[in-house]
Amino acid sequence: MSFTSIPFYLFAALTLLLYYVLPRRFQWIVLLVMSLVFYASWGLELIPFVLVASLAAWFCARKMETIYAFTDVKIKTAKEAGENPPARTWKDMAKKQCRRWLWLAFAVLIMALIFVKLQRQMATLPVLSWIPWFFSKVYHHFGKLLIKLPGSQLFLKDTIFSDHGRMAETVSILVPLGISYYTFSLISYVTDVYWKKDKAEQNYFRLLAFTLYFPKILQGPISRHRELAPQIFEGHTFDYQKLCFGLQRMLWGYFKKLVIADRLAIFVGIVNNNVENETGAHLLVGAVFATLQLYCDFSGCMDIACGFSECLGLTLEENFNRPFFSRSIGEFWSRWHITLGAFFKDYVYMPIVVPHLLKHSKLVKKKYGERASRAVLAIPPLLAVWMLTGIWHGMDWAHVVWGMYFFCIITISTVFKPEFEQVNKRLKIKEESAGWKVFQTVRTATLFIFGGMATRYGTLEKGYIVIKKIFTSFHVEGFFDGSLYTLELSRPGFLLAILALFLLYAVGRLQEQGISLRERIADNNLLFRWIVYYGLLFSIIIFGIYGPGYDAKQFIYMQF
Amino acid sequence: MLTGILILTALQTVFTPTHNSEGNPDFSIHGFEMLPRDSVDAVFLGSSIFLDGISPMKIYRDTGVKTYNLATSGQPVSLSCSILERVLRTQSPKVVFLDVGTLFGKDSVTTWRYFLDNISLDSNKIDMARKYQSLFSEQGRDAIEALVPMIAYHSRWNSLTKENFDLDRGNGTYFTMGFYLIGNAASATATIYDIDQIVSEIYENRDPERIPHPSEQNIAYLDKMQTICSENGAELILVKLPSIVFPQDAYGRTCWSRYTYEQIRELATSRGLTYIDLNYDVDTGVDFKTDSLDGGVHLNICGAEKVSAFLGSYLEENYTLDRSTNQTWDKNLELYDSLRQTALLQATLNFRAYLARLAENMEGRTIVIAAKEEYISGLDKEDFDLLKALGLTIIQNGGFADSYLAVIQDGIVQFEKTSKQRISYDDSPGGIQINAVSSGWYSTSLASIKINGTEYAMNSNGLNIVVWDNNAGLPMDSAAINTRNPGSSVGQSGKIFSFLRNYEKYLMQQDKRGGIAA
Repeated sequence: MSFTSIPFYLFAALTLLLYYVLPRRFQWIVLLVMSLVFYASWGLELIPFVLVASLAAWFCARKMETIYAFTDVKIKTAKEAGENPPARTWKDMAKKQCRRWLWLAFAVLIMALIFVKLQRQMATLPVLSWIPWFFSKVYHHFGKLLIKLPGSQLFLKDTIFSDHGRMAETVSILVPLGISYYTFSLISYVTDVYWKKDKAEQNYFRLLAFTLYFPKILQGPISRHRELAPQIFEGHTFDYQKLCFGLQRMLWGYFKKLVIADRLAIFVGIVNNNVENETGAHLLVGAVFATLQLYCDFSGCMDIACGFSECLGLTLEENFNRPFFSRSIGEFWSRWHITLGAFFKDYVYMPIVVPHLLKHSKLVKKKYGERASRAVLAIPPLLAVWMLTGIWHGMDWAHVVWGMYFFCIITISTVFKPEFEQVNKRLKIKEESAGWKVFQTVRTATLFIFGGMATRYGTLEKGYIVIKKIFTSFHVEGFFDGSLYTLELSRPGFLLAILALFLLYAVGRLQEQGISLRERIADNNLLFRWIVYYGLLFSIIIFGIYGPGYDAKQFIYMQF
Repeated sequence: MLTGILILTALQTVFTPTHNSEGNPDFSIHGFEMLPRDSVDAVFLGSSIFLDGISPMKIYRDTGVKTYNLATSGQPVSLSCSILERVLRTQSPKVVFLDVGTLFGKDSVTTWRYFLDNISLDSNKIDMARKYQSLFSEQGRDAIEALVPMIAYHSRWNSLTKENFDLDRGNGTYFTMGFYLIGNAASATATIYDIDQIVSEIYENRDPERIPHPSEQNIAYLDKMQTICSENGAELILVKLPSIVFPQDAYGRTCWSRYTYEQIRELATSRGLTYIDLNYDVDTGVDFKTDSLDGGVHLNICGAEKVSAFLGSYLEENYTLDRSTNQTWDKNLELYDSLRQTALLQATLNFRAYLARLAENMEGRTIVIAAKEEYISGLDKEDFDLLKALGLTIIQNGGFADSYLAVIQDGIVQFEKTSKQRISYDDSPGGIQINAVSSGWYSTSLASIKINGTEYAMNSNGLNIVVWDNNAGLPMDSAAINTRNPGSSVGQSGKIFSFLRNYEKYLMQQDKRGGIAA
């Protein structure tokens, strides 16, 4: 049940109805049941993965909390008895014990993630091929016991050839929906419990309700339990304005997805699959469109998820903050896929920096000075974060190169910041002038677009061909001779895409200026408001890419 | 919410194609939906061969029996079955004619959509949509998309035409009662017996697997239709209209021959069904030299009238049906006759017969004749006499390769002239702006007839004729006869099909304005 399918619209309406009709204390149960139904609509076979992952996280988190609580009671009791307990030692011991449970939770969660991500590679290695083969067999037999729901299609997403044993067999690739997103959410949950930043859930089904919460399961955001769970469980009364705002945001998300992203996808699909025969001009347009498609697709889905949550009275974390208005790559990544960046920052970068690097950086500072110390603090965590970010997006060399590309840019801009500032000073560049801002914005977008070429075409070699063609075989006439419109996207469709992108830019520009469009619209009279709402709704209905003959593309980030 | 639904409904009407360009008049189905309850005694279900070949109004004129033609292009028998179920909700036909050619056909999304898109939403439509989903789910089609056409058609936003914005298209009646009149004519180059020989060679000697057979699914639908008919007191009659299709043609899969005939005969006998084959069993007088619109596949107005005359007399002889005259049907008959006369004029390929048809109905018409290159060598006294009946007397005075130009309005000759020089006529008799030119061989060969600024002449050698309806303000026909050679037949302009369709629309508008309702 995709966000862009009619069954989902009906499903969402039913969820809203049940959510507000039933007493508030049952609201989280409604969300749990509906989330299970939503998840099962993609294939009942996928559910065991998420059940086991959340069970492991729930069990380990409870164990940790019990250990902490027991230690606290022990210290308190000793103090009350007038003893002088070694509280520090006991707490350290408790932490040590908890660390075991934390590692156990990590092991289950990360192993499952690694298995899912690496099963293709494992199946081709004789030593490891038994692992996906075994799971495939188990699932094949297990799957027969389950009733398949309509639309269950991700279970056997792909088949590959394995050389397991003496017989070559086909191994099914299992792709549990949203595994990266819920795994990271659960990792943050158990880690926060370990750090005592969060309370463990006593009821497994409450943790499951948080894990499976369906607006975020497809593509995130990677929610923190301590942020989202209290909202899910507190209960909400019907709020008309929140409902209106939520629906508006969902509409905007559908506009981005169906009108822009899926329209650009028509052109992108043709050009990217024919790299060898296309001109540099067409490939450049294809690269720009592919980047915008990715943005509209991903952020559109987020708007739908956040909008629907708003209808329920919940606030989901934002994943995008108009990244194409960024003036540097560092800023860009703080505005793009924000919760992934925040996850790596809080659970990879900070744990590396705080206990380990801080000590070394002080030594370096003493010996080599402030800049060297800053470099020590910055470079290793950045390397780890970007390596992981690259691997998270894809288990291949292209994605590692892609991660290293951004690591290099951010490292260079961080380490050599004083030199760059010096150059700007000498060139008498006014850093707050409009022209310089535009240059920085275009430069950032260009760097992002070119970075994407490492992964966009399937292989690094193809990415290299595209870059080479853009610089050596551009054929500028490709912009004017009408050949752009022969690549499946007709001239009216092309113009419509440009118009829609302009609208996207205009809305972003206003939001950058701090103008809340939703509130501005709400301040206007009834007629104006409804003209805007219907204008957006019917522009999606008319200009959206959906329906028979053209399937709305699955959201790109769903595969993670 | 209500506003949104209204806007969506209007948008759906705009975006749903009219299908008219594909030879499926959407008003045919709307017309049926508008019929009063129990007002027809027989219905025709089938493909375009029925659509173009059976005229309910001809049957009504001949016998008084009221029928409706619900055939559509490429209608599969699964759809015929669903249409029958829909028919029985509002009508109680005594006879249901099924085109047996459909038993050899396949289901197609397009033909289903055509019907579904043009019927109003009710429980029967929902049933049909579910059936549509079961038939085409492998092609990604579902019932919701069938019930909300916007889902399928919204991508037409960049190909909408003025016609799509006529929101009133669902409210008119169709005075032809579903019959699609066509005046084009193209003769067949073989008879059904020649086809038998060709298919025998192919099927017996070369490729026995090409012998067509009705699919099990189609037979199951036939059985279902028979059951439905018997439960509702109707008789299902299998019919095959005259049709000549070469197996190696584009329409080859619809080729009718003794092989298909015998299978259907056996099928009908085993089920106790009446089967009338107008190729093998009955001679209705259809002449494939003049009565087909496309070389034998479909019948034109001339062929349709002959077949309909037979079917009318069959109903009259075999059933006791209501034959009383009906005011509404009589009014529709007047409109039908106007269209029929135009179609018959278009379909007349014999020059003398053509002149006679022109002379029959001069009132309300403007006829412009312009000669090109040479027009007189092939004309004889009989031709001149027929031209005299039109009021043209100077034409016979022309010499070899002369120019000739004549304008007749409401039976009165406004202008007639022959000359060795180029002749021009620029005037506006009756408010109709005519700019015509005739140039014989001596003055660089040209025939041009512009009416209200639009060129209608074929600019062929001999006499070029344009017939204009003064009241409708529309062209009726454009023809050319190479009268340099005696006995030449009438050449049809490629535009006559659209002339007839435009005139049909005009008559329907008149029908609406006149308040004629079925």
